[in-house]
Amino acid sequence: MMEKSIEKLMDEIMTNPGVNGVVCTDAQGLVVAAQGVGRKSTGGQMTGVLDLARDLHPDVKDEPIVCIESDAGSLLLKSCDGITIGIHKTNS
Amino acid sequence: MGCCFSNDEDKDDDLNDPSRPLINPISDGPSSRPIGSNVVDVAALETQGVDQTEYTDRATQYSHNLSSWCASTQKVRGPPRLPIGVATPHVVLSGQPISLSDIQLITSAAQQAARSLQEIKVRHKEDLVVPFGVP
Amino acid sequence: MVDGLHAIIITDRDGVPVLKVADEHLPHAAMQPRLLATAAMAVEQANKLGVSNNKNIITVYKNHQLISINRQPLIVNMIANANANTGLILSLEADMQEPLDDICAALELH
Repeated sequence: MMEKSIEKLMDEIMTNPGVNGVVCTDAQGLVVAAQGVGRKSTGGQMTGVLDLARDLHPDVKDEPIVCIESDAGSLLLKSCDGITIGIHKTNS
Repeated sequence: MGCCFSNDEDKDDDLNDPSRPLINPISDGPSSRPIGSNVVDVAALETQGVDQTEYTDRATQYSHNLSSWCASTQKVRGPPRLPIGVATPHVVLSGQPISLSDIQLITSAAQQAARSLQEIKVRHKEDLVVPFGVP
Repeated sequence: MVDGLHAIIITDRDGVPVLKVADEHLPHAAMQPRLLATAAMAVEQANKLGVSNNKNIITVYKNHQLISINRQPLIVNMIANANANTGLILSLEADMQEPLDDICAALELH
């Protein structure tokens, strides 16, 4: 199966301390893979937030990292080559 | 394969599915829709649809009904309610910014995800279109 | 608000428009009855493929994408740039539930 490697990567990310969910989307905000908490329907919002963050600093070539903190935990976001990954973490 | 009439092969799987679409048209309740409504008939699609007069009539009727409903309703749609997020924003704002280990975690995760998704390719296995009864 | 989303057209199940909003970037062909009727037909046919009822159809063209959401008895069509955030557009459906219920009530559609 071709999607094994992304599933394996998700498993690996989930083993990190405090991580309780991970979502991976394509450039169109469509979810490619997801595990743990976080609704699968939020793929579009994740890509959208990063698009806005990129617009804030159009001259910066590096992909922005966005961290959204709330009482429920934090969500880390980053894109790479059109793929967006979101990692949900519990508040430690 | 999910081809038009392939249902007979995987019957047992969706016999219990209440939304099973290819229902027996005779027992199709009080519905007066024609038998053709349960069959994907590409050739017949061209002739379906609403004619010009009915199209205009219906569109006018819809816009009339909507505007009279809007005039009579008491509903006011306010701005969307935003989530509370954090109860104590000052704690979050005065706290440490995102940790280095988190930066490393998300950066390497994004790189690895991009790499593993580049490897996904479509592999040709069988024909998607199967001819039925063509000699 | 979604970047690159040009129009939202709510139709009945035959593609007759009930409510539409659009900006000035919308391609002329997109408002034609033919496109909406075809989109409605596609939803109806997709219901018959033996994989339960169709939820939505995303059609991507060279410059635009058409997202048709099956919300019986209505169909919500959204037209956007081809590179617009499809996931975000799909998530708009959740915000539309109440207005769509109101439209159904106003039109007495069932």
